[in-house]
Amino acid sequence: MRGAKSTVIPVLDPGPRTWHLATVSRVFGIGLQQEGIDRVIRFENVGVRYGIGPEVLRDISLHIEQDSFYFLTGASGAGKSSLLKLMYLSLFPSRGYMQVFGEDIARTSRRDLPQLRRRIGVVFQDFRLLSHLSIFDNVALPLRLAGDDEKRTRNNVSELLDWVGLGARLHDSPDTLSGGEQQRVAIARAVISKPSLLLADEPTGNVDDRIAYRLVRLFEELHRSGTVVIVATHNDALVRRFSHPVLVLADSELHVPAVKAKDGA
Amino acid sequence: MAGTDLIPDSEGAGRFLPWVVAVMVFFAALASAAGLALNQATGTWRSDLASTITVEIPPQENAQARLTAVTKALRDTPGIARVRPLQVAEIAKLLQPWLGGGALIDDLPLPHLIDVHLSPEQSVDLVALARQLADIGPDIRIDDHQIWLGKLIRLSRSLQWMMLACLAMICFATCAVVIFGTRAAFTAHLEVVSLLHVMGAQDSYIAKLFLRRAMLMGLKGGLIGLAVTAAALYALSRLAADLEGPLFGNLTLTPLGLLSLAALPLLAALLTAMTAWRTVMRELSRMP
Ligand SMILES: Nc1ncnc2c1ncn2[C@@H]1O[C@H](COP(=O)(O)OP(=O)(O)OP(=O)(O)O)[C@@H](O)[C@H]1O
Ligand SMILES: [Mg+2]
Repeated sequence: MRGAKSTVIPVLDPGPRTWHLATVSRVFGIGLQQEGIDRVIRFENVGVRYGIGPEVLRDISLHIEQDSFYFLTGASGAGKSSLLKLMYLSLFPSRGYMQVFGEDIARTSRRDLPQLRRRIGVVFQDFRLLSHLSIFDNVALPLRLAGDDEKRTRNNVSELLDWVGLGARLHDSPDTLSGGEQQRVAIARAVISKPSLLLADEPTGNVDDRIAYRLVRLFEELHRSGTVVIVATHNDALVRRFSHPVLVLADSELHVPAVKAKDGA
Repeated sequence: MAGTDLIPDSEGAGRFLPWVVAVMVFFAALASAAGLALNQATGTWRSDLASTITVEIPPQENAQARLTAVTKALRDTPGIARVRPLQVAEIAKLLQPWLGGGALIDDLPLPHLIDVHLSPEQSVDLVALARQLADIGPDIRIDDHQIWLGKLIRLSRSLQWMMLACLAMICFATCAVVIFGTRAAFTAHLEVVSLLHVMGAQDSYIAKLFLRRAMLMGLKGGLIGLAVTAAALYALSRLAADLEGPLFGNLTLTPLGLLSLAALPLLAALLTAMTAWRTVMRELSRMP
């Protein structure tokens, strides 16, 4: 992707051509504003342990309001991925109270969890792209799961992949992409279904600072269209370039900033 | 399109399944065919043999007179439809396999045999008839085939039960193989499965992917098994036709029997699919 900067990722260019809000709204639609849920995530004294090991997360109390954009930082092994797993309902707390989209997770039946999961977009730390599917099919997956109209799916996916600069690679396998390109496919897949909540685990781990900066700008654009965004990273320099509130994990505990800053981008 | 592509079946995990199903269907078809043919044959034997008796008059000086007397007595008995003394030539033919043709038979004192058909509406008191014939000659015998028929039917029934037990065991073994195969496939595709799960796929959606795959493999295996069975049964029927005897001539399948054999691949596909479904649902229930 280094070789084709000018054409490959125009959307990530911080110039005047970036992020036409019209496109963003058309592709992503509006997120939570319409629903009247003001607390997207609520944790009260949540603790997590894997098996019989020690608690990797302890006494986590956290309220994430609609309309927020957070960074989540902490040393390697501090539990960032674990906290995000809790949020995308892939891990259940061993104690404490947990609400997602207003639903008490302990009381939600197994049949109702998928509906909640579908409203959450996840960029996994290790991407988790399926190498036996084309890039196009990878990105289309959430829409097909939701049973969307196939023609609309085709249009939206093509448009979004164009938008992240991979429009020419639709039918290639993700294995043929560079790390940074795979990351963009992972991001496209996370946002294609217009999630109300976007959780990104080290989305800038594989790219240089300049592209990392652009990726965060992309998330900000999504945020502007109504998606709550939480970005886990241990790139402190990157966090400092933006003025979003920062959740810090240390010693298995979460330190929530006292004052919540508003968008600064 | 995405549905079937999500779980590629190029993996080794499932490649053996169609062949196992083919073998199972082959065995199941053989067992069913044998069971059905025996059932059919038993019915025919019963109606054929139950409606006939044979009267045997040992050779003596006044054989012809005794034959006439017996024939008359039989004709006068109510419930007997037809009385037909066998010709010497016919008796000779019956004995031919044992004695060979030619002069020997001509020299032997042959018994007289009378073929008696009972009428289906009226039952005949065979004991009274035997007593009546004994008055003509104490050595005159009635063979009503009942003992032999009873033994044959008992044998045939126990064979049929054995075939049924075989079928049950084949189903059981097939389920076990499918469970292990599905678990292996599930593990091989854990990456896809857990991704779909996190993205909000219902358990039933994921289970359906495996169900479809298993059903196709079951059907494929079933059809292979059926093809092999058809060839085997054809060969067997040719061999049985060579025997020409009254016993094996009856070992044929009715159209209904053939149809139920043809349904075996569908049953195999159904069994495979349902087993795969239950296995995957159980595996998924362990995911948070
Ligand atoms: N599946 C698991 N089983 C057991 N322990 C686990 C598991 N996943 C994580 N852990 C442990 O939980 C702790 C937190 O791990 P986690 O992956 O959440 O950290 P992280 O902050 O995301 O680290 P990194 O920055 O390296 O990605 C670690 O000590 C890790 O060993
Ligand atoms: Mg992590």
